[in-house]
Amino acid sequence: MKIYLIKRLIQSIPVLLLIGVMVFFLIRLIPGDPALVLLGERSEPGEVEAIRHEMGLDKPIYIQFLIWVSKMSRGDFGKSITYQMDIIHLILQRLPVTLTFGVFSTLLALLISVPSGIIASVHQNTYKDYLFTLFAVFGVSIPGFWLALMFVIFFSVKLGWFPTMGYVSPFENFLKGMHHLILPCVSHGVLLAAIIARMTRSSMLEVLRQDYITTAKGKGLPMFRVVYKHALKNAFAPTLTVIGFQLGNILGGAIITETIFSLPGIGQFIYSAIGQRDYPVIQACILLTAVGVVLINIFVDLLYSYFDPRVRYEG
Amino acid sequence: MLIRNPAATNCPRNSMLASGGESFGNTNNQMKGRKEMKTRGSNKWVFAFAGMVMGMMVFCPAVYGQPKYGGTLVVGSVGDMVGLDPHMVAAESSIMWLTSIYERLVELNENNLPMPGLAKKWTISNDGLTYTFNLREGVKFHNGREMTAEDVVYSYKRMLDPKTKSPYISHIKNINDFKILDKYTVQFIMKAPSSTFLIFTANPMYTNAIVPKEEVEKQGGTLNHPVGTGPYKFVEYVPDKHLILEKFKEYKQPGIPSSGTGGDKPAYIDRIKMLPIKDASVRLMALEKGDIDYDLRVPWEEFDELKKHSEINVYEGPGLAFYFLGFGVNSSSNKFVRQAAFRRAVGYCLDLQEIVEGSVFGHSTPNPSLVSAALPFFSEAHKKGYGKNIGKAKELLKEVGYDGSPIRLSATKLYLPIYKSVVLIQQMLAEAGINVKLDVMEWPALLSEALSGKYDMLCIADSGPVDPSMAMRWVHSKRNYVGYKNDKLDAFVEKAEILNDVEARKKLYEQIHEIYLEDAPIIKLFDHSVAMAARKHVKGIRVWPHAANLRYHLMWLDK
Repeated sequence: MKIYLIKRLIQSIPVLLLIGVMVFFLIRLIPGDPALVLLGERSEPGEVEAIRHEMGLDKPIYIQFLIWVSKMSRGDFGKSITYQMDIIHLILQRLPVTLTFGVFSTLLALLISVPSGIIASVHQNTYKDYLFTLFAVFGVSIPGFWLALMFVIFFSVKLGWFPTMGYVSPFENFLKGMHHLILPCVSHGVLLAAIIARMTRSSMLEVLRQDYITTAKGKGLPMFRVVYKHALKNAFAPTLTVIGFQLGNILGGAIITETIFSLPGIGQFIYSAIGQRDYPVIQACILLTAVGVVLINIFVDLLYSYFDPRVRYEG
Repeated sequence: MLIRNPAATNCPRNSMLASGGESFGNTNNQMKGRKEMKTRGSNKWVFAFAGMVMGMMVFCPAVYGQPKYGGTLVVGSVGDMVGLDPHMVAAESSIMWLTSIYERLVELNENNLPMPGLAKKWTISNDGLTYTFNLREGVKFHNGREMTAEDVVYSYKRMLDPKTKSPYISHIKNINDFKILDKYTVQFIMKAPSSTFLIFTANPMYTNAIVPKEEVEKQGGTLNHPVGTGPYKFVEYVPDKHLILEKFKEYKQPGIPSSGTGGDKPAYIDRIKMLPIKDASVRLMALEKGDIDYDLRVPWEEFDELKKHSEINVYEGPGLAFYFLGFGVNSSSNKFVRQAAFRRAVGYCLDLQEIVEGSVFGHSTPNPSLVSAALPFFSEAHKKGYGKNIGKAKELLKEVGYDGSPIRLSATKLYLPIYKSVVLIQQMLAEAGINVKLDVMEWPALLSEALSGKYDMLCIADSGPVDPSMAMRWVHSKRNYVGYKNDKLDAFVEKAEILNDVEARKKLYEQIHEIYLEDAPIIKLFDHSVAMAARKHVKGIRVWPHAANLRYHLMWLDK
């Protein structure tokens, strides 16, 4: 197991390097210049060059890349061009928001999706299954921003139950924090739930058709045990992959939800940084997100062995 | 235009009495395109009107209540702050907050002219090369130390240092040296005389802040924890979450009536909380629900509907920001765009009023001149534009031999009025047979095109020149990016920048306008108005042409 883990971690280094190279060069291919964005439309000839020089943007691109790689290898993410603050400090300010939001919305999604996926698969082709399909199609096809806005209009403006936007950390004030988090988590969680539930249903259907399930039923085991002990454990691996994938997505920031509810998370940060052409911030955020996604994937892979004992990790 | 502004009915006594007269003067300038008031034989009405206004001024507090102290104002801002160091930011989203924390040597009055700020008075030597500023005594920084001439020199030297990367450097690079005469007197020695130095020093869209040296050093060279002399002090900033300001209780009032960003700053409200809410519809919903008290920018799409809301007041007034159509005069590879006759033909195709109706629902002022209508330099002569004349446009197109080949028009959707304008412009130009291909791109990409000159035509906005000389950057040969050069125009622009006489400058800008219409290096479309909304308990909001509210010190809460 340990050797497998080390192997996976070493394997991820070239992946991260490749992502680093791509991010560094791709962002510079997009038209736009951080010096211009910083100075605005009124900048005059000469000023832009001076600022570019100060930022080191006038150096050849490969030199800029080498400087960046050398700094990154020392754990120095550099300073944000727009905020003039250490990027790591800015990311650490936002990461708890994205993580809290991500964990709560995923938990909510799991609470909805797994039971509903199971119920739909057990009651295939009944009204329960049709209701589920309706929910799933709704969740997968509805645009996230629209749902979020509808939630705000209905639950915040009309009913006045929740604040329209803003963030309070649930670790500072749990009740107030949850009050602010419910709407964003529900609007994001519903969409997430639809994706996970569909996967749960289809993999459950596949497992439920297996012979050992028929045997279990034939032995007279209660349906509950058949479903939860025998079927679900086997059917959960594909669902786990989807959950891992979605968690990775949230880490990169649920940009739309964060923007609509004004959650000060990583998503909004990347979004603004792209608009400002704040290269160091974009590079750092995407690279850190990539690290997160790689780690989550390794963790998910390790979890497979719990759900499917046939999976063994050996060097 | 200001008639619709309910701010006049809020009138906290200080602000109304202090600068009402100036405001009216300014408003008259802005009544462009409206019928002139008859003057002959109407003296009694003028007196009656004046009496009514005086009465309103006197009784306003009685009717609408005295300004109340205390409370927290929650403001929904369009974007988050982009940096906190006052010498390093050009973004309006930062400057509009830093203006409450910091103060300038000279401030801008209601009529957009310089007035005392941290300097209680100033003198300019006859040769125009020495500015002597006498500072107010007893002004304290938020860290408790008194502000002195040393701080002024330190702050300006810091802005001038290329290492600071200050966006203000080009406007103060005329300073050659400083002399501290005593603790409260400082001299700026200039390289050349300039009529714009004071106005740039007072420009509300630059912080030009006087900062304490020890705080910059303590914070490692970047002022990320602002410490100024303004009526509000910095408490906390969490990026993308909030900015909190608190009343600075030891603020020393200048003892002159409030006007513009200057004069007394009563700071009725104890605490101001700014929430960055990028999505306009979310901001409006938050305002309707009462999660925020004040929305700094209402989209025109929602403005008229919002007027009907029983809990909300809307505010509208002329602005300095303007939208225009630029041409790659000598930088474009398109041979037609390079010809003045073709560019004039474009001008003859445009109906500016229709563009205003279509792009901002009629809530702005069509203005063919580079000089904003809200500035004292605007005169009758500036109203002359091309006017829609398709016949004339076709004639000019024939003259240049236009063959219907496509002309690229660059724009962005980030600012909707830009996008809506270009869609209309495309249709209008099609009437004369000009084939326009829209190229819609991200804002930084458009900015990059604008400042490299690599375009045929583009539509963009200037965020608001506080002096006409700032708008001249689009046409002066040394300051534009498209290679446009007209020696006569250059000479007029340069002369206007050293003359101190407003009337003489006015004349020069009129002459510039004539040349500009002939050469058409850019075509100005409209001056963009300012739109805000607040819940009814928020009082003391006064619309000023500068894009966002800069005067929280005049506002108060009636609850």
